[in-house]
Amino acid sequence: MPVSRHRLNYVWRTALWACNAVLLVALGLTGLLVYLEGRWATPVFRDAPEAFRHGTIGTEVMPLPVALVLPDLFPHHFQPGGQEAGSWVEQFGFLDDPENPDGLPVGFTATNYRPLSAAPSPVRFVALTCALCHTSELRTSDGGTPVRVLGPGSVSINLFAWLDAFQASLLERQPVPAGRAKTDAPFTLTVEAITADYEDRTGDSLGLMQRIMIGMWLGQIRDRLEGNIARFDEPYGNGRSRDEDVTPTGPTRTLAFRTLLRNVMHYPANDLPIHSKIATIYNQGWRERAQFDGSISGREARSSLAAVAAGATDINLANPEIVHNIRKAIEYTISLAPPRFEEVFPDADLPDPEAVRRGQAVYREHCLACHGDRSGQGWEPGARTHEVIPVAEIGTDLQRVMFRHYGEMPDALYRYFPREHPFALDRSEIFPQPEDAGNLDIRGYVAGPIDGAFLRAPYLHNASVLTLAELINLEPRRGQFYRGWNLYDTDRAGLASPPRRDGLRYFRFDTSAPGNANTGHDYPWAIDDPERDPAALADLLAYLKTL
Amino acid sequence: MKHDKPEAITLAQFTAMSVPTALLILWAMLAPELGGDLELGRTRLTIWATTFLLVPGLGFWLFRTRSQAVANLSYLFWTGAWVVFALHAYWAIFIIFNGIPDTFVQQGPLIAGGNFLLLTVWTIDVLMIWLLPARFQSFWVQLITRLLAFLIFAVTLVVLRGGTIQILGFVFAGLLAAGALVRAIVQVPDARMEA
Repeated sequence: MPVSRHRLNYVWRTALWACNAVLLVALGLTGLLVYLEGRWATPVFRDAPEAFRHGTIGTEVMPLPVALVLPDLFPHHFQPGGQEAGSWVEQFGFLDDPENPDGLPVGFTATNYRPLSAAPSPVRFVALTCALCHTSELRTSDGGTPVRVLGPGSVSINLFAWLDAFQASLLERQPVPAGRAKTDAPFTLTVEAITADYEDRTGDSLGLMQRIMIGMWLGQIRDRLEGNIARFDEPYGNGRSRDEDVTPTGPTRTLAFRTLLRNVMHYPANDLPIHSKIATIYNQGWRERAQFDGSISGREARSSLAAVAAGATDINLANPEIVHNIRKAIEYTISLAPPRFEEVFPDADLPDPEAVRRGQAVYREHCLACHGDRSGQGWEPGARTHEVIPVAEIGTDLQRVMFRHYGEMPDALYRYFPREHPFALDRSEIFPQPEDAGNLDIRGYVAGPIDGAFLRAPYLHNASVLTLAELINLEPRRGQFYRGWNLYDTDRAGLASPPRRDGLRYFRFDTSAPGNANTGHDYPWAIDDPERDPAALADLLAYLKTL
Repeated sequence: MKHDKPEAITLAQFTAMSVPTALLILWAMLAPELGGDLELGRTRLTIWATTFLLVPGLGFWLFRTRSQAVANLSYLFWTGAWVVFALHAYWAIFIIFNGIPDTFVQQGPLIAGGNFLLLTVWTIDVLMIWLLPARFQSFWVQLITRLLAFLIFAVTLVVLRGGTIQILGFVFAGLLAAGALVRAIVQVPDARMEA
């Protein structure tokens, strides 16, 4: 039968029209998406205290619905101490925030920015704020009323353990029959599971765009995590993430350079014992060098690189709201002053004024040169204040400044931000300078002001000394102790440790482990120095409580 | 026949342009959703898409005297490329930069000036092609506009950029230079054609 040319032409024209119509609809829908995207995220420009407490610094981690349901769906990861040991918030050392509208702990905020890019999102993402690491809660007895203080590094937070639990949840798969590969099984966490639990929990439902975004995020982060297994290995999870042999960083500490080594320099950076205490951030206007090793001199460089270390990128750090938050948080810390000892511990014995007077004399003789001293509302620098004291001289743990790639890191960081970036770095504000990259003799720890000294516990850059009494060698330093929700010891000015592990102090800190040495800083005298004067040290302790 | 204006465009000719143009716009708008800087990604990919469309837009123009169909395809792709370039300009000026003055500050007067000049003459050319009758079409306006587009794209992609986009620049410049060479070889005077 002959083919009808007329009919063929009709079909051809219909197909062409249909093709154009489909593309027109697709373009219209895309235009609608772009239009809607412009309305998903409205920048919020907060004042300085609000930016510090609730402003994202480019550290969006996961969609809010995921953050809310993960602890429900994976209690074996998020409550490693068991249900009876408290909520996930307590078990990882976070602080409850009754004012948080989403029921999240202190230092968690929700934004409509996607992780890494700050692109608008229809579903809110949980981001970390400065207050997460720099808010602490102190109490002198279990069950006692805690005092919440803004500014010191959190004494309880175990961020790396929480991240391990988070990653383990994302990669967990359904059980597989014997003999089958683990990777054959489907993932436990699905958009459907998130949606169902979220709706049960909140009574709200997730819209189509929100579910699409969650699914997209889930796929992307899983790809990244799975791609990284060959470099960093799998997360542990399953109640093990707080164990000291699994996450040796432990409470109060981070691995200061690991994220930068991994994300900026693309090294594996595994098993580096570069443990570093979360810093106290009072009166930053008095400090010329930031970081315990004094490796950054610019305030914006310090904060932007801290954000990068916490997961921000050069892309989202160019977002106007995030730039604003970081600059305002810097402004907030320039003059943020510590509370006085008696304000935090009104029931504690106040230092004897005579002892304080005598202690000041001891301080000025032995400590002033490096740390300076309080002078009215200001700070009087000593001859060596702001100087990096070489490890060979100060004698504290050297891992943090002697690891491989330390010397080449500043150049990599300098190149990280493009020249036109709001946080573009000046090479002169990151140390070591190029000519000193291989000079091990100058590496050490900066001598800075110690205002609010009683709130800086645990002491030394690696948090290896629990109290001021031990730091000044009034008492011997403990070789082992337990960390977690430590009580505050007002007599010794620092953290108390139980003699053995308990539910709240779960992390065994062994000062003989790599990166944990509690040696050095033997001022005014070493513990075995024949000239050591315990009475003078007791006076010094009294004075230090007043700084 | 001079073929300096599109005439009697068929649905097939229009679709030959609309499908790649629409797909490239969808790609430029949606691919950056998968990661990286969303708005910068869109700005970058719209310039890639413009480059892809300029190849037939300029290439067919060299041979437009061959037939009205070739001329039509040339003007259609040229217009599709202009639409995508306008999209690129909007993203660059109003989303990446804060308006026209900031664009000059951020890009410098030379690059920003070149881009604005191209956008202006390209817009005028497209409007003339579609709105004015054949007797008002100017070969020289068309030639200068296309030469300007070719030079700005070739120089920007090959000289000012690196990486994959530079490779695209070499392909773009190479194909069109080869096209111009072929055009020069096969060109004969009108009189001989008639003979």
